[in-house]
Amino acid sequence: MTDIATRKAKDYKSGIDPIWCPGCGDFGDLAGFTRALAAMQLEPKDIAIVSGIGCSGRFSHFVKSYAYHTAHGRSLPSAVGLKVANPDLTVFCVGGDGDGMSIGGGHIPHAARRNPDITYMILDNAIYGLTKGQGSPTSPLGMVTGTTPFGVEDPPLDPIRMFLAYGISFVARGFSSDVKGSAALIQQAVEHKGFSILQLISPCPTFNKVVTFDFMKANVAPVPADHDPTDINAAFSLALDKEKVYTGVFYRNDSLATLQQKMEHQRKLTMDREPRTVEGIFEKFRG
Amino acid sequence: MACKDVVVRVAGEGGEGVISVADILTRTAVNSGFDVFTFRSYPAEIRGGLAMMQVRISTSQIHSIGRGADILMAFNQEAIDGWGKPDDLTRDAVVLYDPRHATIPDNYPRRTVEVALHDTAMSATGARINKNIVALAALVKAVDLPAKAAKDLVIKKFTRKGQEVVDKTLAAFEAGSSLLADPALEPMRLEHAAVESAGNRIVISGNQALSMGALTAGVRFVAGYPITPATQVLEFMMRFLPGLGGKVVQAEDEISAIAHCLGASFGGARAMTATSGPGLCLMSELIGMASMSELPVVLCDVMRSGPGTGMPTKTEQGDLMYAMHGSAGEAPRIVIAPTSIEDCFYATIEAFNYAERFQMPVILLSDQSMAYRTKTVDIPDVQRIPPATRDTPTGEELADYHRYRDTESGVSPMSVPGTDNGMYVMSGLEHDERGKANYTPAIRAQMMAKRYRKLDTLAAELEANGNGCYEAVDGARVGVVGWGSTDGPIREGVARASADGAMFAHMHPRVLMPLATEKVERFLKPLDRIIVFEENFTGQFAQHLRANVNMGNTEVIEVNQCSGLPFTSDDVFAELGKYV
Repeated sequence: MTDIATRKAKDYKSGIDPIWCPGCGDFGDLAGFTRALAAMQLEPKDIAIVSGIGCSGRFSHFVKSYAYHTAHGRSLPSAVGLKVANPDLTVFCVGGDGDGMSIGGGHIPHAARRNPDITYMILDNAIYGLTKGQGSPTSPLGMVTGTTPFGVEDPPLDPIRMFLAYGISFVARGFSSDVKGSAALIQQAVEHKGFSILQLISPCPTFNKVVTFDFMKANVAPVPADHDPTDINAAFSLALDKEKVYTGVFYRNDSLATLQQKMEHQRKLTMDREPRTVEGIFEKFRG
Repeated sequence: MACKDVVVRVAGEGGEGVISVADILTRTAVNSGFDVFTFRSYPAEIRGGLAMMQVRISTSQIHSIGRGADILMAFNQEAIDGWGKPDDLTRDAVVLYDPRHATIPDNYPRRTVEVALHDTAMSATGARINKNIVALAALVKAVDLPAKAAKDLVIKKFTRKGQEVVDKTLAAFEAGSSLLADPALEPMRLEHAAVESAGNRIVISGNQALSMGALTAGVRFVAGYPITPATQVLEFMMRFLPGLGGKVVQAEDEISAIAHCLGASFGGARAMTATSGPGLCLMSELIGMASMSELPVVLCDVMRSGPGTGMPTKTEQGDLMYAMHGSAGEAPRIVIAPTSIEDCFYATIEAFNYAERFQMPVILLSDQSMAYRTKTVDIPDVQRIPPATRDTPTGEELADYHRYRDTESGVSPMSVPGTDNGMYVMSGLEHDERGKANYTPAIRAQMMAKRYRKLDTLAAELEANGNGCYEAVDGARVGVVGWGSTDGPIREGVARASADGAMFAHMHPRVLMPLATEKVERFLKPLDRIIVFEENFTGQFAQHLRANVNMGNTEVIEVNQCSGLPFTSDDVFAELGKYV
């Protein structure tokens, strides 16, 4: 497919150099992302990326596209509003584990219910990097950080299990070292009609000395070839597996109505029952 | 003898149909050609508690809930104790009460007439649920409205419940109509207007007017979270906006609501949310985001009594300072306060126009009393304020697109995602003209000035055109000042004082941020003193004036009320009496 492509991955770079530390896992995610854009040959003007705050919040600055670098934790509802208003755009939402699972965590189940046709990438490094190393909701037990000087006491959240429980219609995990794998997952996520969420494990070499590239390489495994991603029980089983950190598509439900479809349904119901002009509405308020 | 203006108050246990009585009475009056102004007081309880609705009916145009009530229909003892206080009724008022459920206090100084609501309902229909219809019929008779107009509305309301219910309701109405033959009520009968039809008028609340204004302004996206007293705006939008081609989201909280709106506005849609003070607090981080990234958005704050949870069903003008300044750092925004139910319609259109033209958040300050009360208004003029659109870049500008180009007006053309060559990063970070993050002192100074210059551009426009009332009166040495929903009681209070020969200037700006300071100074110049009426404790608008306007030798007298109730024209008249 790439041989007929007119845009290459590098053509999706904005020209602004990433501010990330050398060796940051986010570089791999950015590479996977631009590779996926090239594979789909999306027009930059039709792409919109909404990002939150944190190292990964800067992601949107580095891609040739429309970009909205919003407030901490608010990328998801912002992206939903954008998609609703401008449905022709391919809308991405990007942020880290603090942005997505802590301050913005309350938005995810509600976005899941709405099922907007957008793709949300959570670049999970299990640490607050931009503020220089505090414990995050995905930091493992015992990890020493700026805010857990004697080790993390609270168990980490498991994003995949949560996403499955929320009923998100496409749930996948990638690993930033596997650029090709992430690119394939991102492409599937975009092509899925509905809300897609990806946990992209993206080690932070500067502040996280526990969830490192070496640690992850020793623990990741692709989801088994015989896994049926439409089977929610099987998806939960994989997520609950303590032996391996599986990467790939855990679950997908392609028959769930999207937010846009539901809004269109509401519009039809409204048009059958209510006026279609302001003047018509005035008439309803006569004595 | 007949009267031109009567105030009917209905009070009783929530759930007894008190509000229905007043509502049908309102519509009967409107359909018979009268001008109507209503006011409701809600109990804190979801069901039960003391409910009250007051209907002012007049042969001429009215602007406030009026003075005390002329007729109180009391369903129970609490209604007399709570809403029948002698000072809160006019001198000649009559209290109608059901002797089965209430007794009149000893030495009660107002006239009282028994109406056997319960017994009449039982004997006519066998069901006490119909006692509100008995009360309605008695009131229709008392103020001499056409019984047919009322019965038509009763039939319309109950038809879907079946013929049997309609028949019983009409039986209750007939029985109620023959209850009152008391000469004490003679003066309450309304003089009949020449026109006995509603003509080109509708009955709407402030929240409904605001919602209709938003639809007229072409709103395309609304997100909100239920909060008293703003919820009706979201409900209205859910019902009507999709049919007009817009989209609505009920968000999981107010932060999400405003976030959805900013996303939609970035996408090119006219976006709005409606909330109250606590919700505005949650939204304030993203208000700053919209200021910094120069994004149009309209936030309607239907103010209620604060702080904390406060009194959610009671009114207050307590959010002015927060609306003007609340957010991180210094975040320019426009604040507009409609002055009446009609103005809720027009001010909302203006709010959208300001937001789109100046690319910043516009906060519209309504309040509980204006949001919930209803009034007869002429069908709003959808042509009066043409919609303004946001400035988009030309092909030439797109050839070298600078999203935040520093211009004379401060406004820079904004491209809609999907536009070729219009790509940019919209960031909450400080940025240069292209939108690229930049923290250098020179860029910072330049971009802060650029964003605030947009307010100067609008302020200059307001100096030239005015927006609101700056009524000088030749020879007046005292001025009356207010903002927002107090316009009606102030006008009526001033009119009464003027009828006695006193002279007062009146200032009631609609755009409060930015303030047309020179216009205000010209208004103040001839005045020895101004009396500033505000429904808050600390006199926030008076503070705003002192901070921004050269007051010269004009003394400022603050009349601040934060009881949860709106000013009445009596309150205003009494205060003005001190300075005649």
